[in-house]
Amino acid sequence: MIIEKLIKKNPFVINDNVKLKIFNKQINFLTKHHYDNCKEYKKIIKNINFKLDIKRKIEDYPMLPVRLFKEFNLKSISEKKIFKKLVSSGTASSELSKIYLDKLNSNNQIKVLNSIMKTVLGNERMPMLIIDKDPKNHDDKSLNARMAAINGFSIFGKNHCFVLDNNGRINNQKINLFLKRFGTSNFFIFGFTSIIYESLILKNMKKYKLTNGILLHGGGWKKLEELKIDNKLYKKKLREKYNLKNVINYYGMIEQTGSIFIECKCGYFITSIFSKILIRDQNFNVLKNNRKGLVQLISLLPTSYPGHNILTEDIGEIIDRSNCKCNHKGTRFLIHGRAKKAEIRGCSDAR
Amino acid sequence: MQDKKKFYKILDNKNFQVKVFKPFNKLCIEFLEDFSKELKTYKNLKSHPDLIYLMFWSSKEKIKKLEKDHKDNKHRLGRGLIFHICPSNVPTNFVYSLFFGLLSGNSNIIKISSENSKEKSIIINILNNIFKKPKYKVLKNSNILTEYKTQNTENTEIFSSFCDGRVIWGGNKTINEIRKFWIPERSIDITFADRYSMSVIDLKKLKNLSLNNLKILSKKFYYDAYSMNQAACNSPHFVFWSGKKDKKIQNKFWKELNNIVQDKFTFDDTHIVDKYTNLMKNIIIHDNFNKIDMYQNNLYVIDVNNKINIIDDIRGKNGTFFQKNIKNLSEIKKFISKKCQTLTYFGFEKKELEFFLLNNNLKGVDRAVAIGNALNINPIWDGFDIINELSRIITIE
Repeated sequence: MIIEKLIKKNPFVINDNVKLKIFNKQINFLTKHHYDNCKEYKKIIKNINFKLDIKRKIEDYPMLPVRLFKEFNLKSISEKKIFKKLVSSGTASSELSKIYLDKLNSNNQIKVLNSIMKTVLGNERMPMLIIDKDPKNHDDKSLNARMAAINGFSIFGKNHCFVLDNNGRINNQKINLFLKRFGTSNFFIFGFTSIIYESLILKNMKKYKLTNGILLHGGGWKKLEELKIDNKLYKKKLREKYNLKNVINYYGMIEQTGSIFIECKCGYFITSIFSKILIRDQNFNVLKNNRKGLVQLISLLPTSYPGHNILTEDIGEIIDRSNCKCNHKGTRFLIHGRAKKAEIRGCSDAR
Repeated sequence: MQDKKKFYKILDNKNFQVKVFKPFNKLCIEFLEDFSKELKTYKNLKSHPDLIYLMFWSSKEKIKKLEKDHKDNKHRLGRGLIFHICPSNVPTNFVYSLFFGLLSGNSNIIKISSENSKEKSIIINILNNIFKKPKYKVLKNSNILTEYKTQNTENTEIFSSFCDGRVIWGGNKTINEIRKFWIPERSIDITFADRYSMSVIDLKKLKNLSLNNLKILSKKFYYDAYSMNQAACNSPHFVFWSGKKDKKIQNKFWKELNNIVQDKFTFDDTHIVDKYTNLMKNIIIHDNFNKIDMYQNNLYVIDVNNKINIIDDIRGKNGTFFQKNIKNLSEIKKFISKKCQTLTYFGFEKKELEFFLLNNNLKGVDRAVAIGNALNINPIWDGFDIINELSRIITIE
């Protein structure tokens, strides 16, 4: 119900104290809901001796580490109600997150994503250039995250043009045709951060102007970190090569699809009314602004699986709002990549 | 099956020759002694406790003692060429494996992990310096340290086909991978499979400790459990409290341990995420947990109830312990399986442990040591004597 109400408004205008009230109520509701409907979640809550009927601060509610969604099939709906299963990208099957959606949760994801995207793309659907393969050519029974994201974002565009062939090669002819038809007014470009870099910056020798494009990209910086490419340099390269000035990064994860975070003009991710971020130190104490730590994400959306309150494996930092000139309400933050892999000790594998 | 040309090409030493010696022969003992002396001169030794331990371990006195322990009135010679597959995550392990090979009178190929560590490079430097001495020429030409990725199976295949024995330092996955490669019919494999360890503490004796001694004991426990991130086969996961239940003193012990961890241990962020995830996993998979005490993220203590029977698949991570009260030592009988390697103890007499371990038809526990000594290195490991296994007995009648 609350989602229905909130999607009618701009997700970045609601006051902090109103948001706090909504979250206080909803997190309590969601925790109870998953306790009643997901047996694994219930077992955890019981074992850590968390009492459901006591009122507490948001930060005192238990969070699930994201890896649990890889190792268990966590869901708060019956088998019959499964409408869609999202599977994260990755190689080994044990490393894939499995997210179960019913119709309601799936619809809410789309609605919320729509409400957030409207603030960047406007109300009209624009012609859309997708720097990836066409998901239609893939079996989509269990959508992998990349294809699911493409499908999810496709609804914000029209005249879709997929520019990579099935071998991942860029088809410049297609791009030229697209630009001829739509290049003179605004159009939407979507893709994954590293794939865009690889195909548009590293591999593509052809030059054309993408002046009127609005590029939205996400999916993480791991590969680009190895190449020493940060967000600034990334933007610079796209601007220099294609005159593409409107480049927007988004952050989000399959465990909380829908309530994603869009980068503002000042280069910070901003939480919408649907989500909240907390930064934790190694003892899970909540850190103040401008301190780096583990990222915890709370979303109002997950009802069909217990993913409303998760501990990610990312390192992040909340930035003072005074550092940002944008008018949006919401928390500003930066992501500093994955927590560093620790040296493995003990008597196991020889490498 | 054996391709000599390839073998020498990979070894990259034309003068390589397989030699066998008597165990504890003079040359090898001197080699270890020189190693120990040179390590002692390393200026930053203080900041590497594992190197200090290694320095003492290879000293003349220690080796003499080891030799005495191995006297059994039998004629022995080394088996020949031993191929050692060493783990990537215990930086000093490979040098002990080499020493076991040398002391048992063998020539050795030591596969060192390609992971880099400060300890590894210090040790290799010293070994190379000593091998250069003219008196060790014969050892230089019968011992090879080699680094290659485990995926490079060609080397493993060749080395296996020439060796008289393999020492495979686990875990299970590695053992199964290496065992796919043929070894000559008379050759042997010594394998160190995945194991785990547990502790037993006598509550009455614990209660009688002064605060200071309690602190010392928790520090020793800390050393056993945390220095290898609780991932070594000899780090404890279960703590059995023996005697009349006394939560107060048990909690005091954990509190002291927590203080030490807080004080001394630095977690990586991934350790914390792993630890928290592991706790949640354990909760989902297992029943029979009574209560979980979280000393922030330094230490998790999980009380298990009386219904628990099998503990083989319950493991802590980065400082997560399961505890159970028992009336007496013999109650842990039912929890001991093949997978159990070390029992660390406090408050028991050796005689008591000896009687318990030998007279109960147990399939597990090859080693009982006082708390604090879990990580000590001994050629008797996982239930067999590596030095004896790597030599052959000659009978003359």
